Amino acid sequence: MENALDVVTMRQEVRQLARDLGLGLIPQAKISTAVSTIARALITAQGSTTLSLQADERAARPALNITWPLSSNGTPEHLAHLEQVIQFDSTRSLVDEASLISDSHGALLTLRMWLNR
Amino acid sequence: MPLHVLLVEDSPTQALRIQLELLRHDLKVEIASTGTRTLAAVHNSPPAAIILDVDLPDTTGYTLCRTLKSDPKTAHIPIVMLTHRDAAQDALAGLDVGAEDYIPKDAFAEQNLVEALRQLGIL
Repeated sequence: MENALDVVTMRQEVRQLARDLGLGLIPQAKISTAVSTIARALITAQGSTTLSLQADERAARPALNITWPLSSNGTPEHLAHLEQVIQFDSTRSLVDEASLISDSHGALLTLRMWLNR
Repeated sequence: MPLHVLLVEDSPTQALRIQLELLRHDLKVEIASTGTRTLAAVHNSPPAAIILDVDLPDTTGYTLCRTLKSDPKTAHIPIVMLTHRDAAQDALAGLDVGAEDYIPKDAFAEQNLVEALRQLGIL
């Protein structure tokens, strides 16, 4: 995603995927809002962003997983900066699980929404 | 007899656009442009659902939703918030006061609204 139109389009795709996977209106609203909030922040900060969507329906606990590779130097300071950029406190409240981990190679943001609710 | 929904929207242009879309789905649409008129309309003729903007002249959709959800006479009415405010804290605020859905006013707004009403059993 590189611009506002990409963000809106992705938000809609996430909402529809969540619906197709059987999630109700509130989880649909939450996960799509989390994705658009983060995407918009990252586009502002670094010009573009890429994420992966995966529905893992066969897992012991089926989930919609969204993973986001981010640039990071692995330091706690940079991780804290990333958390602030993506409004992690707010966005993590919209999903069932969220993690942001980093090492010297980069960072990975994972958002997860359980499917069997 | 078509179901009737209450559309709370202070922009006449946006209200008309949404109303026309819902009329295509055989819904009767009543429009209220302020919080005061909304409360009067809901108590006079309870709708099957309320579509609620956030930015209103005399209140916010958050306050109105909280009021309606805390009144036993209106708590059962599904509320779909439809708003330009699409940040995480905005959606959290809307869902925290009891809205059944929170839809951003983007290119897909009407499509998502129709789908929400369908999932709520209104359509």
